[in-house]
Amino acid sequence: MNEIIKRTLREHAHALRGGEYSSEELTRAYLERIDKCENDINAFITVTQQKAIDDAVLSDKRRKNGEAIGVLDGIPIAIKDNICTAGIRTTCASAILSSYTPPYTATAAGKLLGGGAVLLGKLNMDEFAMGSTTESSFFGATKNPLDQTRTPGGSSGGSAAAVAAFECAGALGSDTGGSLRQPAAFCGLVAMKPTYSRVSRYGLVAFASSFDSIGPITRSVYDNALILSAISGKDQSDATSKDAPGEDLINSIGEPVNGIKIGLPRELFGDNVSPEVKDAVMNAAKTYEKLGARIVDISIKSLDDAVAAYYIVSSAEASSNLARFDGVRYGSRDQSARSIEEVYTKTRSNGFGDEVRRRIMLGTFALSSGSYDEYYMRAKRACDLVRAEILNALNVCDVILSPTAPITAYKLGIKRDDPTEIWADDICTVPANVSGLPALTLPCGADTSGMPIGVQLMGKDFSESLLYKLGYALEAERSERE
Amino acid sequence: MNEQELVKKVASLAKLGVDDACSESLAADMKNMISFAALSSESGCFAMSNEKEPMILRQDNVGESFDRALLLEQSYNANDEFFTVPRVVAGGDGNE
Repeated sequence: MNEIIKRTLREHAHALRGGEYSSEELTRAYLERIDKCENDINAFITVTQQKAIDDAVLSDKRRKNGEAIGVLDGIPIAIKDNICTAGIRTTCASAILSSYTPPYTATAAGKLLGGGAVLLGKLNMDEFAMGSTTESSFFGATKNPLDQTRTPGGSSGGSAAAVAAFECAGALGSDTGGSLRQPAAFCGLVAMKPTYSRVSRYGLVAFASSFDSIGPITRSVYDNALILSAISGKDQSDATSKDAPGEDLINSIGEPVNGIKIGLPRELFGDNVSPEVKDAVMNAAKTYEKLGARIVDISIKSLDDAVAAYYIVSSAEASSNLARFDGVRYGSRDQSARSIEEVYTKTRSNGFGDEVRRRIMLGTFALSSGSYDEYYMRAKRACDLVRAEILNALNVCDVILSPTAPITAYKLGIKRDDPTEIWADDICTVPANVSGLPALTLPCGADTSGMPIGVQLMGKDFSESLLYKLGYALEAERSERE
Repeated sequence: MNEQELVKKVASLAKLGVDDACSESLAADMKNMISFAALSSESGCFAMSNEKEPMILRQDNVGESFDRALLLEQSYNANDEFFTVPRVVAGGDGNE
């Protein structure tokens, strides 16, 4: 393996600037790595080999002429396959979109590529981002590079596996209920679910529009801040997007963390959290205490209902968002259909996988006239309550610290027959989506099998710079110890 | 309505085809999902309900397809197969 691919994105930026190697050399090194390990890992759905080399050559020319666009110019990245890229197949890992090529590029992807980043390809995921293992992909399961008998998590499992296997310098994924943070935790990486509205959702194939967020997965906190800085901001094409109020995500990194108050919510340290995970996360809290932060116990009662409310609201929104995949507006049409009704039902029944069909069914049920008040409206109120109580807690502490996932990466296929058991594992990640607040995950230890454990930091709206500051402090402390 | 009838009704609303064999396993899944998604009765969201002004919802029914001849008869401008709509982009004569 060419050792340069193990470097962080920040180190690549420095090396490209200093002429240590070219973008073309770096891109070819990553493509060689992809070629070598994709048969085992299956992180990519599409590899854009020739385009990547062409773009790298162009980047080198810009640099040579003193016209480099920015810090990401020439750096090879990859993008989850539910983020549209003009002229490049975007499948959502579903049979129904397996031949769909979008005519436009998502704003977040466009900002990265417009900044000179080199696209290596599109990454595997759970079908329509519904799942926590990347096993529901039409293109086959992705494996965890740290132990190929285990899941990389999901739904952004391809993004996490590609970064962990050194197949790209960083990746974009999406997070609706933990889909960036849980796979990052399972693969020993850093991921940020930004404040809802910080990153434009234009061009992200919608799953649950009120929870969906695009964010970065990287090998370091600094790299993460670099990518998030590049993709943030108001976008005319997404009315829900906003500019973050005058902050720099990079500048606060490296500042001391003394005096910061960190809350530990007892609801996220319950019996369902494995003792090894609890120990590692508590050790992270002790590290912060050693660095001068203050630890306080807090309780947020409504968190007990967050997962149930999340599954009702997200499934309801999914049933509406996925109505467009009917073989007429979008989706490969079933050719055996003999009437318009058959076009809809055959296309959708054959085009969607089991988990997507289940969620559409639950969502349609929750929105139907006999159930709307009892399920959907109550769940919406529960979401409001979760946000209000978390914000209340954030009046007595600056950030909330918890495990990212209650367990570490498990064996592939192990939980497949019981979907709701997997759903319950979202307990730690879902509150950030339901409340729209930002949450960062980074590694804080490993279990006895050597699988990584993630710690999550959640803060107020647009507090990403504080989260990065805290994340970097823990990362630096751990790397010093190791 | 029993569970399998519920599955068939919801599948019809969602435009998903469900045969008898499939409806049995989906009925079990639906039961699990609905009980998983039930909020605890101690949840604070129950206190937020507005019982004085309940929402009035229409019944969900999947209707028959429209009658093509009837639609064409009522359209402003039609040919044998389709109704036509005015062109809205600049440069048209407004009736193409």
